[in-house]
Amino acid sequence: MSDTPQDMSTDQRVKDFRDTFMKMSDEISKVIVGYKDVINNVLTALMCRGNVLLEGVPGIGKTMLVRTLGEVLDLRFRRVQFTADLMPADIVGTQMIAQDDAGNRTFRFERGPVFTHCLLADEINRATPKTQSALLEAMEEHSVTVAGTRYVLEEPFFVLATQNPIEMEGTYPLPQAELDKFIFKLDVLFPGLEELDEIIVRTTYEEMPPVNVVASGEEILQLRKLVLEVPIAPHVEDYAARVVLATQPRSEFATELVKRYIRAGSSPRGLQGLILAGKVKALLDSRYCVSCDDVDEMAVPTLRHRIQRNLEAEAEEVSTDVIIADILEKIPQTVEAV
Amino acid sequence: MARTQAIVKVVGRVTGRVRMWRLIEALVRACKWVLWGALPVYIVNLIWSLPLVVLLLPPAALVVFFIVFGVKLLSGVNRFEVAKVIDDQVGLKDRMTSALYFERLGFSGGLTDAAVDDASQLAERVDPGRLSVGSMPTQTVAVVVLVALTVVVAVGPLNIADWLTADKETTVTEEAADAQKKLDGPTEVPVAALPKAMEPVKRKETLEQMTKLESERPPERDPDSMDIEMDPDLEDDIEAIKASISLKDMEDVEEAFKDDQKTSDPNERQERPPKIAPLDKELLDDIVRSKKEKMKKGEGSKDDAIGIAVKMPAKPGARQKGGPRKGRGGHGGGDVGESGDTKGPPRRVNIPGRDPLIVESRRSADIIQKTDLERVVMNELMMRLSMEDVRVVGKAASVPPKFTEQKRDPVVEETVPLGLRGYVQRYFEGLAAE
Repeated sequence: MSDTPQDMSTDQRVKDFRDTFMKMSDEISKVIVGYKDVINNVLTALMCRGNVLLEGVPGIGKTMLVRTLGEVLDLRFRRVQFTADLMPADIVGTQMIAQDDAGNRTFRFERGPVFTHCLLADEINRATPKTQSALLEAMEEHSVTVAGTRYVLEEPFFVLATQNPIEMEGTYPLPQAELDKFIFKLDVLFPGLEELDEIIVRTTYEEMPPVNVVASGEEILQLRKLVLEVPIAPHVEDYAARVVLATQPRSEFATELVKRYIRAGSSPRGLQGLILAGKVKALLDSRYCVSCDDVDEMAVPTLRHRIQRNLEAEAEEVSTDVIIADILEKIPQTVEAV
Repeated sequence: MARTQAIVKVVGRVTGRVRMWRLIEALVRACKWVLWGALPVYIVNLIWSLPLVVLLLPPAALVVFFIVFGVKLLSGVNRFEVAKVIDDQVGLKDRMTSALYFERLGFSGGLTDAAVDDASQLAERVDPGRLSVGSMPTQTVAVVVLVALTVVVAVGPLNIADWLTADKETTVTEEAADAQKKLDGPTEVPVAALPKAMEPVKRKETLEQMTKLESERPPERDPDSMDIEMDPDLEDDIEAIKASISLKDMEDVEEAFKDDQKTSDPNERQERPPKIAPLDKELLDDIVRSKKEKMKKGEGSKDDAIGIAVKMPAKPGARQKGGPRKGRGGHGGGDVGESGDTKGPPRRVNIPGRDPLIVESRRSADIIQKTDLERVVMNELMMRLSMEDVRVVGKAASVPPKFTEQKRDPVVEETVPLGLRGYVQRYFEGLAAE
């Protein structure tokens, strides 16, 4: 990564992207046992300029994952524990009266924890919707507005939020508008036997191994540019669009499951995330263009939190993952002549 | 185009095979859709033989569906589609397809060129001969089973309809054999079957009796010809009867006897000849004489007495024992005639030395009226008289527009009376002439 992108060939840039990505994944895996897919998807979201919502029971390493990510990327890391009495000012900052040497008192903006590179919003569903909405602007536009003044966040900005799917008392489910800001929603499942044994070895016999810094913030931005350059053929775009449209129960592409169990489908932002994630996937596969398989692979984490189930689906415990899998099975990868 | 030359070359070599597989897919689809409908038809044909046209429908539908699916599937076979097939088979993940699209759309630079070059390099390594560009559709097995089942049902040995026909033929043959046995068997009737054997004899007697009655029955007259054109001899007979025995004559007879009753002197009245035609008198005398003889022999009956219209009274001496009775008759004091008429039968007048005629009823005039011949005459007269005051207000042809045509079924059929048939016929002939 010593040469500038202009000096490197396309092949080299793609190779550098894949190497950097894999190094970051490996470094995080030093601390986080298992969850390779979760780690890769978090890094993919980072390359796509997206935010990630991690859902899992407490104690399985969500916070550790985000903290390690910050260390690997040599980025500033802040953590905010969301509670019911947390206020928006506690996140974005507030105006405070300050007195200078001359004795003049003026308002001074005290920056909140959102002013960082990597923000961990732990148990985000425990805060009130008002506080949750304080993150909306930061997540989408990478800026915050306080007292009429807009503050641009330093890039790369990245929000990882966690929520507990079990303990729901005293929580406020995230509104759909905020959910739509997350490019991925990743289910962090409970580790298996092998992973638990490895966790015991790593954490109880010795200290946590130190992680190396793999890439800087600037390098991450360069990798993001490369992602945007990846071309996509019309038939793949068409396929991705049809998949997203199929999540709408009133769409002509909607499957029977969608018509029966879905109340509202994905937004166009879901399609954007799907294409970007596909591009990252193509680069990681040493390809220069997106394929329909990339769309298929990234459809579940990209669309699962953008689809609203109806009461019937909740009663019958039909998950969005099942519905998306049904969509991918039913929507053909046809090729239209241009 | 030069960049994608290798891709186009591979695609060109595979296109023909892709088309063939598409046709196979079209055939499988057509079979799937058609055979589900054809199988029940052929099963029904096993039981009830269907017309040949119905049996030919499934093959015709198969051909139509095959053409439709084939055209639809083959129309989608372009080089992008073939490249997609190759990508899927080789695992190139849309590299060749995307490269063709980029070339077609004129994309270039950066990763696009890299994508096209990468696809071209991979295309050179692809061996079209080893590509299995098509695979049997997933429903092929089910369709093959369905085809086999349909063939067995349609042209196989199972044919219940033939079996049923064969059973019917066997039954008919057995019945014919039984009939032949009966014909060839002994003609002697068993004793137990004698009552049944006697039955035709009774029937024969009945038939003979009916034949006899039929022969005695007067021949049927054609009402049309009778009404339209009456036999001249018959007309003469009618006129003769009307002239001889008419209502006027009978009224004269009655008035003559009333006059006799009003006369106080029986002798004077006795000398007055009755106002009755000599022929009628002789006829009446004969009738009365014959009735008397029958009564003496005990052959007469009450009915006969009622049917006698004119009769001679009892001997005058027998009627004069109680003297002349007063009153107008009736059950209390009057002598009710044998006809039972209580409305004032004329008092019997004792005429010594003679047997005066007493008219008890006017039934003598009704005898002729009860015959068909008299009804014909009376109807003729009634119709002619009734038509005299008819005033024509319009033509019959103006009626049909207001007439709602009815079906044949609800029309009530009524038998036109014998005497009116001619006029009904003329009426409708008149309508036809209009």
